[in-house]
Order: sequence, then C-alpha cells, then structure tokens
Amino acid sequence: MAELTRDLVIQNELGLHARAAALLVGLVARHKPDFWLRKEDMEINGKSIMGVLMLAAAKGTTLTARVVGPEEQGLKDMLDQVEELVNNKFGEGR
Amino acid sequence: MARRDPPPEHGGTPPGGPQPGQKLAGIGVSPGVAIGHAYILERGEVHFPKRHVTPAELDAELVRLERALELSAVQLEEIADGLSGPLAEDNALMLRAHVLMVRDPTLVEAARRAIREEKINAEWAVRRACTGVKAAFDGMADEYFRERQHDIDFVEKRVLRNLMGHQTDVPETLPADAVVVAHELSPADMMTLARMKLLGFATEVGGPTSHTAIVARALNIPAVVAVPHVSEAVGTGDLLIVDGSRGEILVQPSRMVLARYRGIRKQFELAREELATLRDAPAVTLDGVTVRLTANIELHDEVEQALVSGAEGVGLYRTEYLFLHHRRPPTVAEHAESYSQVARELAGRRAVIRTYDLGGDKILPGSATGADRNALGLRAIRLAFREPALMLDQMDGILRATAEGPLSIMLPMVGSVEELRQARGMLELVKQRLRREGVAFDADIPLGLMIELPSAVWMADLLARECAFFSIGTNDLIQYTLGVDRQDGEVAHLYAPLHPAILRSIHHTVTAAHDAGIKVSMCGEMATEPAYVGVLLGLGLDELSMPAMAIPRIKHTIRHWRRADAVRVAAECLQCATTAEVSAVLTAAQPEVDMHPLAPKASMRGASQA
Repeated sequence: MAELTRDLVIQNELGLHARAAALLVGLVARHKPDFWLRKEDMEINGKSIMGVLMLAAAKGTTLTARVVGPEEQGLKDMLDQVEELVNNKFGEGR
Repeated sequence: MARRDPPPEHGGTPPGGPQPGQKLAGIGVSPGVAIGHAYILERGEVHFPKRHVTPAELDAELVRLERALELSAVQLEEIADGLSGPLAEDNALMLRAHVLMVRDPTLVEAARRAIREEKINAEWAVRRACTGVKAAFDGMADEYFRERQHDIDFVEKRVLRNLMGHQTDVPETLPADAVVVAHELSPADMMTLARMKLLGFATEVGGPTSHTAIVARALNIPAVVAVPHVSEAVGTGDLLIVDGSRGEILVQPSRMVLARYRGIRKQFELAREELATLRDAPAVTLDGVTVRLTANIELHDEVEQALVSGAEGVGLYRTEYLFLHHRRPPTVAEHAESYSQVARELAGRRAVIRTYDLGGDKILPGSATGADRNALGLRAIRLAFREPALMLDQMDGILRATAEGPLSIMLPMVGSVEELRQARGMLELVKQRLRREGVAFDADIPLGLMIELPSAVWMADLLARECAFFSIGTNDLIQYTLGVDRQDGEVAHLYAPLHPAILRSIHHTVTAAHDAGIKVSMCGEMATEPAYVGVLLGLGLDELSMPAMAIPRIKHTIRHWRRADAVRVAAECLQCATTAEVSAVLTAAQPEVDMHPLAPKASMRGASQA
C-alpha cells in the first residue's frame, strides 16, 4: 500500500460549504483509493460529505489530504485533481 | 413582518378531529382564495417501532437498510434530474448534496454497526447514526455549518419513511382539487410539487422568503405558511379554504362561509383576469399623460411576476436579502450574479438597485457593528461609510452586471450633499479599479437618491444638481417628518400619508427635481394606494414603483384620471390645513373606478419596508 499527502489551502470566499463539499466528495468518490482530510488534529474520511462539512473549513484554512491505495501514480493523479478543484476555488470565481 | 395571530383555541390536535368552521391563522405568502380538499403530506416526525432483533434477523435488517438507502438516493437523483427552469442548477446541487449524505460512508457504517452490534432494527439504527452526526454539528461555532443539521434531518426522514414503507415523495398525481397541507415542505417536495396541478398550500413552518412561499408565488397558487398545528388539525379529504390574501385557513367551513368564499374567489379571479388584460395597456391618463410603473423586488425570481403584472422595469431592488440570506456579506461575484440575473430577466428594461439598507431593523449578521440599532442610528449609507468594503464590493458587483442590461444605483438615507459626494467618490474608485482590470461596464451608470429624510427634502435642489434621479421612500419620509414610530401602538394613528406636511415635502422634492431636469419616482407604500393616485399624479411624480401585485390596480386607477384634474386637486390639497381636509378633497375628486372589492391587495409584503 502506498500513501501520499499534500497540503491544500482553501481559497474560495465561502470556504468548504455544502456546494463545494458536494463537488469534492463527488470527485474523490470516483476514485478507488481511500481519501482522508485533516484540519489541525481532526482527520475525517474525505469521501464522507458530513465529515467534510464537520471540518467547517473557512477560506484560508490549510487541510492535509492523505490518500492510501495500491499504486502511487493513481494516488498522485487523484491528488492532482483534488488540488485543481481546490485551487480553482470550486468554480466559484472568488 | 412575520405577524402572527395567537393560535385559535383549538390550536392543538382537536379531540374528535377537526372542528367544523375552525379558522387557523398564519402568514399569507401568495394571495388568492383556494377551495379544495386537504391532501396531507406527512412531513413531521416519523414514528417507528424500536425493537431489538434476533441474531437470525440481523442479515434481513441489514438488507432492509441497504434497500432504503439506495431507494432514497435514487428518489433524490430522479427529482434532481427532472429539474428545469432558472433555479434548476442550484436546486440540483442541493439535492446532490443530499444524495451524498444518504450514501455517506460514515453515516452508513454507523447505522450498519448499530444493527450488528447493538442488535437493533434498521429504523432505530438510522436514528442513532443521524443523531450522532447531528450532535457533532450542534456544537459548531459557525452558524452556516451548524444549520447543515437540517439537511441531515431531511435525509434521515426520507430514509425512515422508506424503511417504514411510508410515502416519501409527492405521488405522481394528486387528487384534482388538492390543497397540500404539511408540517414543512423540503426543497425536494417543492420541486416536485411545482410540476403538478394543485390549488393551494398550507404549512406549519416557513416565512415570506421560504422556498414554499417563493414557489407558490411563482405558480400563482394561494399559500399560507406558519399555521400552527395545521397538519394535525386537518385530515386528508377535509374541505379547506386557503385565503392567501388574509393568511387564513378555514377547516370544514359551514355552507354559508363556503358560499361567501366562493363569491370572493370568483371576484378575485375576475379581477385578476380583468387586470391581466391591463398588462399591456399603457398607464396613461384620460388626457394623455403617461406615468411609468415599475416593481419593487427583493429576489431576482420576482422579476417574472413583475413583468406579468405589467411592470416596465424594476424601480426598487432591495438588496438586504442578499446579505441576510448568506448570513455574511456577499462576495463581488455573488453581487454581480444576482444583479446580472435581474438584468437578463428584464431583457433590456432598467432595474434600480438600492445599495444595502442594513442597520435599523435589519441587522447584518457577522458584522462587528451588528448591534441593535434604531431608525436614527447607524444604518444604510451611514454604515456604508463606516464599513466601506461592503459598499465597494456591492458597487463593484453592480457595475460588472451592467454588461447584462441597464442598471441604476440608488443610495438610501442620504441627508446631505457631502454624503452624496462621498458615495460618488466610492463609485468612481470602483470604476477606476474595473478599468485597470479591463472589465466592461456602463461608465455612465445613473446614480440616484432615496428621498426619505427631511434634510434631503430641504436640500433637494442642490442634491438634484449632482445626481441622476430621486425616488421618494414614503415610509421613512413620513416617519421622520412626522416623528412617528409606526411600530409604536400609542402613536401609530399619527402616521398619516396625507398629512399636509408630507404632501408639501413631496411637492418641494418634485419641483426641485424638475427644475434641475431630473425625474422623480415614489417607491414607498403610499404609491400602492389607489386613493392617493390622483394627488400623486397632480404633484407630478414621473414614476411609481410598487410590489408587482399592486401594479394593475394602480394602472387601472390612473386610466380613470385626467392629469389636468389631478393638478387642480393637488394644488387644493397643498392649501389644506389638516389631514382630514386633504382626505375630503381627495374623496370628492375621486373618479368612479370600478374596482373589484378583492383586487389583489398589495400590502402583503415588501411595501412595508420601502
């Protein structure tokens, strides 16, 4: 089993609210590897929308994403896509 | 706004079923009268048996759980797929978030574990799992995230209903004359109901801006919300009258009451039809003078209703809702999107956007200065100077939206030339910023003022030289001029739109504006009253802006007046010493206008805040 982590900074004005959380969970659910998100000392299952909402991650929050799966390239691709979604501010423009 | 009469004596579950003739009071959010049979949608607490299961039953219970979850997800997806119309994308995303909750691994695993380890039935396990998750949200500091409990609630109830074999969604077809009665209606419910034929709505929760209210108005279906215990006091099949104009539900009415309401309904429908034929007729006096009639709106989805009512544009777009809805200041992009939507829906007609009038009775949440304020305190333009970022973002959003259609900016509560200049300075600042960014916008966007302070009335000649238009906000102007707080029952009777001082203030304002070559609108409640049309015409107002529902009857009245008579009447009123004399002059001069007694009353919402 391989594992990768990457820090993500929430940049959209609204933070990780319901719409953004639905997009994020929708994305990671399409991938096989396990996906975890940590904010400070709280780590949740990133495929759980309730978990993601419980992070109450406002703009500026740094989250650490952790993926666990059988092959490293797949993990990297998954993190790249997540990072792109976050950096694109979930398509909210601001 | 949320006026609510005390619940009737038999407010609870009445012993022996509904009391014939019982009247339940709520908030009317969509006018008109519906007479039909109650169709109860069970939307309250879901009752289910709690029991322990034997080891032999465990697997069957787990299967029941899986099936109910899958069914719930499929139901929600189907509703989302079937959406169309302007709100479809937003609504679909909300439902997709609900689907993800149904499939949430944390939640599903907690429920499975409860069945396996605690040996309880699936319903009980779902309740346990959801209660656990809701508790985690309950302690959150951020209100937005705390409120997500309601989403979990909707999802939990749906899964429980599926487990119990109860109806979860509105059936494909409703009885022909259904009045839908429910504790509350979820977004999913309203989205489904919006596609069906039904006569009216009555719910226990909700307010004028709730989803139920917005959809009911869009569909032109009478609706009353915030009716205590209605889903318990009424049984499926009971004959019901929904009076959406007065905010009342009549249960099992007597034959006499029924006959009376049939008459009222008939008149309402006739009036609506007749007034609808007025939609495309001009608001022109008998001697050929036209008055521009525009709508007051608060949500962009009210534009459609405004156009159907014959509005020539939006004369007042209140933007407070944007702030209150988000529970925080909107972003530039959100501002721009809201105003762009209005501009697009108006298809070339102008919208006047009033910058936020917060403070006073409307408090901006999350604001450091969000303390209790009064009408004479830190509100509107004053707050804008204190917290310029809010105003700059709003102006930025408005300017960006001018790419979609003609917009004007209107400043509330301005009482001096300095304030006007300061606000204009802010607008110029934003324009420069946009030019640097290469954003396209209307550089000549008209900047106008609300006239609602006596100081603005007295400075009207000088203010008029430096702005593009005036709009008289009569509610505040009357309050400030007469020194009367209308909420105070002891002095409310002194609140008099026809007080000679008010007429003189209007006269002074209009004269100053016309001398400077700018136009004057009126956007307060005073503009919605047919009895005042004559004097307002005579005083020379160029435009009247009001809730969409009031437009037909005001237009109808204008078409019965001669401008020449109105001018004479206004001149006479300006010489009156007392309010009673003014009233007498107006009553004597009133032309015969055949108004159906229940032509839509406009006072339901909106006007009271102008």
